[in-house]
Amino acid sequence: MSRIGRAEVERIGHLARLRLEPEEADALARDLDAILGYVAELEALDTGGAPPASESPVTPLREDRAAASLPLERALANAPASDGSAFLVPPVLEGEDEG
Amino acid sequence: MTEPLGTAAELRRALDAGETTSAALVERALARAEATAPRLNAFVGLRAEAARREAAESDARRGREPARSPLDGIPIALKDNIAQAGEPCGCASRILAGYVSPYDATLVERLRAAGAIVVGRTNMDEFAMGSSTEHSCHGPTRNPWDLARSPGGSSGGSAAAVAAGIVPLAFGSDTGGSIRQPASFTGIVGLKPGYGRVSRYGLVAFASSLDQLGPLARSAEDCAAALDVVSGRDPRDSTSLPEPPTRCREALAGDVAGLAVGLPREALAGAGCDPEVSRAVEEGARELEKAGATLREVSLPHTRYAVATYYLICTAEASSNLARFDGVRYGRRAESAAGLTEMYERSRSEGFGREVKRRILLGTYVLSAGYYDAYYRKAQRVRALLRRDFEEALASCDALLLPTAPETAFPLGERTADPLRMYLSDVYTVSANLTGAPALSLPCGFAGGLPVGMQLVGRSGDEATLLRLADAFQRRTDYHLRRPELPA
Amino acid sequence: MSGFETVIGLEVHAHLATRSKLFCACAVGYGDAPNLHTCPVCLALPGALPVLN
Repeated sequence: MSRIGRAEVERIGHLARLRLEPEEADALARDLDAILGYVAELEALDTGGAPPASESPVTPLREDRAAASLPLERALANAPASDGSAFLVPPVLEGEDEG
Repeated sequence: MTEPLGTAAELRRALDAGETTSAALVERALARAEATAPRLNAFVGLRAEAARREAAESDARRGREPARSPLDGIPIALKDNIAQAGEPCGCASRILAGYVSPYDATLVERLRAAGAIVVGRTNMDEFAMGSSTEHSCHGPTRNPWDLARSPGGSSGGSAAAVAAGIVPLAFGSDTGGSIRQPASFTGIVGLKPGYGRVSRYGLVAFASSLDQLGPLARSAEDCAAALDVVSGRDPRDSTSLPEPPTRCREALAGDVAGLAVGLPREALAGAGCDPEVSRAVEEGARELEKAGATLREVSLPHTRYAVATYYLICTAEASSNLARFDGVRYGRRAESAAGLTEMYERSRSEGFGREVKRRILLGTYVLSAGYYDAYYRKAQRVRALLRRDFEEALASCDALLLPTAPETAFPLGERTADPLRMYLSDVYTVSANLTGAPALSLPCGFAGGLPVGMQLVGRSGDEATLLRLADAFQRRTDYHLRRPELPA
Repeated sequence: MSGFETVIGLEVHAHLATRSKLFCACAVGYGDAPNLHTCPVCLALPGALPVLN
């Protein structure tokens, strides 16, 4: 029984802002299904109430002091499109979700 | 073709004795990089003019001022995911075509201050996702020991550059084994410092809780010198340890009497590991025993869950880190997109390779609503168990010894159609990233004419003991001095 | 006109009175021209890392 099929891959692809051709989506679904099958062994493992490793790290803080920024031309130097002041992008189209 | 370069320590002696100049060393490195390019493809770009200028400045200083560090005037290479001001930083990806970094990574600033001279950027798996350097938009790098085989990955270019004698020292990044496994496949030393030891500011992030920068070189001594230069607290990296730079090189006394080395029974059980590799690692253990270390058996009971845990956590973090690549501010932008969402989707789909997409999708999936607890959070709990395993094992030992990889270098093309099989070659390396432990691979023998690496894993913060053990091993053996025969 | 139920929503933005940005030391120049106060961190350049204010 496959855990993940083309429709699911396309849904996740949308979340990740990736556009996949149908054959690509199918191939990726097969790959992901194999991988998810492999990681399923974690499900059965009893972690005995161990808290997740990521939680409660201490975050060092920075003093609230302003420092020099990049000059405008350097900030825009790699821009695919700019008007010398801002990065230019295509418009947000009617009906597009903002998620 | 120019002669291969010696170790950084040898070059330092030659420079100090006036037997050579930095300019001559840089010319040799550049010439050898160019001559080997068609066969190895280790470099994605060279910075010849800048390197020559820096070499001239270095030579002008020598004699008038003391050397800035053991690396002063010495040519090195950096993986293509490390930011250098004024240089491309491509991560072997189409999506960063044309991108030039306006800033230096902290690692680069420190190397410059130390007088090291970067001659070029090395090939890698795209965004460091891979174990073979085959997932690169520049084509694969080949193993100098056998051009039909992979040098390992993702820092395969850096490993090949050192193994082929183009530069004595290179830097790579290691998220699941990407420094250590290529070092093992190419017969050199690769060090993954403990998490936080080296600033990640300027390393293009793959998985932020796992990534580390580290050196690849022929000798533990060179790796120690490199670590001393680049380590130390960095206010620009919140995860960097609040400690000064290490002083590992001066602590290499060659003496390891009394050090206890633990052999994890799960790793040496041999299941899934090439018997020739196990044999070479066992002989390596006996050599350390002859040098004065004591061996004992330990257990890491959750070893079998490490790869699954790794691939859930690293892909989740990668999906977040790679969200910045959207065609807005830099890199490749899809042409003629009618709207913003189309621009994002097409820029990313056209720019990312198959393996990167695979991992972004998996990571997005495990973080998505309904799956977060079952996958990501569960993996983080297993990670806590792995940390406990290592703490307990290292309570009675100074270091653990196990294979670096379950095999020697595999043929190019053998694994690319089977991602899961490729992932399984990380079985011995991922735990050190998940636990944040320092870990090092050093050559311990050969199997079928191909290098075998053994891995030392240490206590948090204790790179020094690993380097001491490796250095003691290298004073008694010569595997690290063997060089591949490259056809002229 | 009876039978209508009034529902009022409030969307509140709180502008923090800081000198520098949340994740980097760029100045908070509210109302300044675009992109005058940017750096590798807030441009999300490859390799940049946030440091919390």
